[in-house]
Amino acid sequence: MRVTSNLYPEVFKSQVNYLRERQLLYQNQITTGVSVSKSSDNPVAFQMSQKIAADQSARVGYLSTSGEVTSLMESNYQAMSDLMQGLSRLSELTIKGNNALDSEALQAIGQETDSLVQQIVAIANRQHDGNYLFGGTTNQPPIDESGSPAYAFNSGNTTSTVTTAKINDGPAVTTGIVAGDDDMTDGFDGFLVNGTVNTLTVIQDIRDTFLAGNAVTSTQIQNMNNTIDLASEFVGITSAKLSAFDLNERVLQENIRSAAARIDGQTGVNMTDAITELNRTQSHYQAALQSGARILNITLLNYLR
Amino acid sequence: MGLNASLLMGARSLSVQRSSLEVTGHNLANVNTPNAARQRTSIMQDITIPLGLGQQGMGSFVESIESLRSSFLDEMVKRQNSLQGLYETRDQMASLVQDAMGESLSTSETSATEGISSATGIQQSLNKFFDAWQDLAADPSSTIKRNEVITRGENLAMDIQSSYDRVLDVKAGIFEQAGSVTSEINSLASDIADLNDEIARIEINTQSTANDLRDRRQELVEQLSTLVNIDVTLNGTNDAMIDIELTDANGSGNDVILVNGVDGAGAAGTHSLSVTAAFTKAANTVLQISATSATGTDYAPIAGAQEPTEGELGGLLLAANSDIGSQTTVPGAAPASSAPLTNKLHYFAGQMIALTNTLHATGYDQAGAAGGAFFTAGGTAANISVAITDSDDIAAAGDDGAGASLGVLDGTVAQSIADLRDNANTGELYREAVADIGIIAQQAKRNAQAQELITQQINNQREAVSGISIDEEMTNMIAFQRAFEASARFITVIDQMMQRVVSMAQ
Repeated sequence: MRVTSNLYPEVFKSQVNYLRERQLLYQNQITTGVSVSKSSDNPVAFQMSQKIAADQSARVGYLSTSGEVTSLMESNYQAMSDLMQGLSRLSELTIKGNNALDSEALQAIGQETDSLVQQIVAIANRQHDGNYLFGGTTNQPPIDESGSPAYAFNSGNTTSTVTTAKINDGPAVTTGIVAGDDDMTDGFDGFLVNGTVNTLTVIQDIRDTFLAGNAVTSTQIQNMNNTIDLASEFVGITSAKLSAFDLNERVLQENIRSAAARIDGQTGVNMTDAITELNRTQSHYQAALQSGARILNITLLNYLR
Repeated sequence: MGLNASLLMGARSLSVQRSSLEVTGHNLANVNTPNAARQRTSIMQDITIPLGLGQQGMGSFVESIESLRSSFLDEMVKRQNSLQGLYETRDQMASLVQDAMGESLSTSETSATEGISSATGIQQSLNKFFDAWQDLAADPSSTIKRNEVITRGENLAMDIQSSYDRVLDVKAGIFEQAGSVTSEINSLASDIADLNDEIARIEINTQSTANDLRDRRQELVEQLSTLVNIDVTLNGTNDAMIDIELTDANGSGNDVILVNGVDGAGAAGTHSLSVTAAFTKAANTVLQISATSATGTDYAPIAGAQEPTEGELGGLLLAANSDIGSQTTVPGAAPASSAPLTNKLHYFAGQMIALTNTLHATGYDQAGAAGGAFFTAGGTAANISVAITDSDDIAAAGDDGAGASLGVLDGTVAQSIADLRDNANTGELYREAVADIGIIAQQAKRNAQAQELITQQINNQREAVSGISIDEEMTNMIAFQRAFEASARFITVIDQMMQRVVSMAQ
């Protein structure tokens, strides 16, 4: 092929430009830490990374929500433990308050029982961040205390608490528990009411019996036992949920780490490769400049005098 | 042959060598002139005279000065120039559109735990918008989180509008560039017609080839071919001239003529090109090119087979109409992968508005009232906006099954809206649109790089035929110089011989 005076410079310029482009590419990769920063760098990897990053954003949100519901569930668990403690004491008093005691002693037990009833009502009306934890509405607790010492469930119990939260990619989980309501057949069960047990009625009935100086009947004792069974069930539920939330958090953290690694695999830079390639390209660049300069500098003119 | 004839032969020889030296000088002067072809003197032996001993030569003469060109390679260069103009322009425009979308991945914006994520653009706003709804679902009565939802919604709306606006800014730039390109095409067509005239006159008057003017014309034709795909033919009445028309894909005969002999750029049946209508963002105007003529058929706009498909103008038309598009409303159905970007942006905005509003309407606000529109209904990518101004109006709570709110602490609807993150018509649709633009930009870049290589190779081949080599010219110069010296010496010898003859007579 005939090589003319302008062929060298044109080819040389093109080759040098290519090597400069490569250096710019590796320099960008080393500086930013990503090999795919724009869609055109690798459209498929970019799209996948954006999808993983969007999912990652959701997971970080789930993690935050999970932290909040765990805090809520800790409050619930504490409340159920307190309830269990109160009902256990009530059960002790119920068994203690038999016919062997005189009326005065029974009334004394009734005083303590009343105190425990108030304590249980307070537990049911507990608040978290200014909201009733176990039912009621914004301005109305689950149990109406206005008729004290006679307590009753407020109506509209179903309308207040956050009962579900989404803490992972799956369906929302139930995070709240409720005290319950008077209607034992509506399915709105709680830690004070289910289809067969109404703790609020049972403990008030026992209190009133004691305050009247009477001993409790075997039916009342059985009812008391049933309330403990119901409360135990909720202690178990809240405890199990706490464990489940803790596990969920750990899984989310692992998923976040794993997704970060997947994105890095798609778009991240292998620094060793990038630096090696930059060195290699720079060597080519230096060689190209040296050889180009030598060729361009020599013509027949140098030898004609 | 007498001494006088010998002197004349020496003089002609000097003239031949001098002419050749002059051509060498011309070549050296044009070593860096674009598209200049090397020239050579075509030296022929002069007539011979029959003498008794045989035929005696009378020296040499310059028959012509030739320009070493390959019309095949010239045609190839023209064709490759058109393709290079197309691919380079598409590469440039697709990159600009991609940049206008502002989508990037980066490590700098995120924590080390989360890794690389969307750093800028709509995707980032979209993630934050859904994050805000998710946060609200966990704490629906929080005023801070309610305000965050509004702020993130406004940011998302602003980012969609900004991206759309930036894309239209690119399109406005394309219109401007198309205006410049059509002006340049007209100017080149006019210059080529002028050169046709000049070449024809010179060649008729001197009966020789106007090499330099033909080089110049070829240079202009090649410049024109980078701007638009053209067909070049010899003029029917004078083959020193060329005619140029826009390539007609199916040769229908409805030709857009740019140069016809000595006429060009709109004169006497030729066409002058211009952008049909100015660009406005409101109309998202279609880029069209018109061809008008003083006496011939007008094309307003050029359409179908005559429409430019290559060259810079072809690339601009492709970028403006196929890559960006002219959609101004929300399409009724999901755009195909090959649909223009504005179709996808409007559809994405429309879906965001419709899906969010539909879910929002099923919810209840802080006062227990049914949810209104979260985004202003009927919006597009150009004007999407958040309708809600009071955070209490956000309908985060779900329905209790009896047409009432589940309560201020319920976030069922907020969670449903957060779950739109995985909807095929929101984030996924948008990410596909970004990937599609990326594919166009990547393909355009590859095509441009490949075409650059092909064009360079063709240019190298042409350079091998027509290019000027300083070394060669210097060698020729020495050869002609020595021949000139030898001829001068020959004249000196003849002169001495004549002096001797004259002195014999004294």
